[in-house]
Amino acid sequence: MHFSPHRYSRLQNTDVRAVLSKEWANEIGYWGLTSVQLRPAEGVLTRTVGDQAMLLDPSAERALSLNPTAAAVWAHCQPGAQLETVLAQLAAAYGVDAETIRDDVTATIDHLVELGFLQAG
Amino acid sequence: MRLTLQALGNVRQLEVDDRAAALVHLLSDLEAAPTATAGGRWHLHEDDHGWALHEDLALLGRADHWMPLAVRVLRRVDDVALDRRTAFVAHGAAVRLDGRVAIMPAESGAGKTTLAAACVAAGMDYLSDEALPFSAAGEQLLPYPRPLALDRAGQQLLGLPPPVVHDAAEGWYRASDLGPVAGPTPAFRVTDVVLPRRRSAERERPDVELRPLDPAVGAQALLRNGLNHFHDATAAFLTATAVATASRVWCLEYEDAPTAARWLSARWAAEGRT
Repeated sequence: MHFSPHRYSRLQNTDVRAVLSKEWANEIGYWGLTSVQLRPAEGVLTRTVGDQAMLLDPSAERALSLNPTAAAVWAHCQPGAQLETVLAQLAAAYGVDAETIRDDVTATIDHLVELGFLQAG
Repeated sequence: MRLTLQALGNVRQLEVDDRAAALVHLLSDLEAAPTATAGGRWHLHEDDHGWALHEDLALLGRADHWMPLAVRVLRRVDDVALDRRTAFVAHGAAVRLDGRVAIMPAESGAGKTTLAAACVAAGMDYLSDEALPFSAAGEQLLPYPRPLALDRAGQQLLGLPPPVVHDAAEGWYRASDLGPVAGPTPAFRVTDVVLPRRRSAERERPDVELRPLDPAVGAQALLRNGLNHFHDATAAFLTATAVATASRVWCLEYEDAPTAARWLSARWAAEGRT
């Protein structure tokens, strides 16, 4: 649900933690994982609220609440970041192997791109 | 009878036939300062064709009795207060105890008005129901002590007398007839966001539970219950996140509102003393 010009419209907050998309992973694979550069879409507002990150998209139509894990992914997707770099940084931060978190991180990035919060290319 | 009332900065004069004095009584918690200048007038009176309600020169409605028109005025007060307001307003109620200012964002039917009325009956100051209006700069809550509209179940639960002004679904009560109403402080800093959740009685669970939540849950609740976020979505987002960040956020699980209100009042009073 989006912001809409209705008095009682409600804003949906989407939690991305459970979203998986193999298509995006495949697409990245086709282009070459190391060549994809990530950056927050211009105009995205970010606020840290408690353990979570809350984002408002550039058109102010959709807000997103990221759980702590997804918030960490978002925080590492700074302009110019590459998937492999993000994976390595997160793996180091969480003390795990990069391959262990690859699917979840890729899916999170996929969803953030789909929703227009993150740009990849 | 006349009353000059102020609804979030919008001043209106209400003039009613003495037989509809209950309407003036209901709205008297919103009485404006004597120096306020009214930007419009409602006139509820009887003429040769029955009862009529005028807003300035426009006829808003006619009826055989003053009651439906009084209800129309009560709803119109909310419209006047909120319609042109661009600063963020969320659906919810607010009360105060000592220095603590608690807001309860909630969807319709969640029992927020009954809980707010029970809190006032338990000695908390009434700040607002239905609307949680924040200041234009965000983060501060503006008091809007409109009458409380309770359904029959809520009236019975709180042991209230039958309402003088009512429609088929709800009856209206002046907050200061139920308990204290906050004085004319222009704005309050929110300290607590309480998400009310009614549940049925469960063996081996206490009647009332107050569980801390991540502040983000409070921000989400405010945004989900936004009444006017379409005016300025960015400001709504910034206000909701700032208020939640600066507050403690709780889930209040309870079986009945009066018990929950007394429990909450005792707990907060004890915390205030320490």
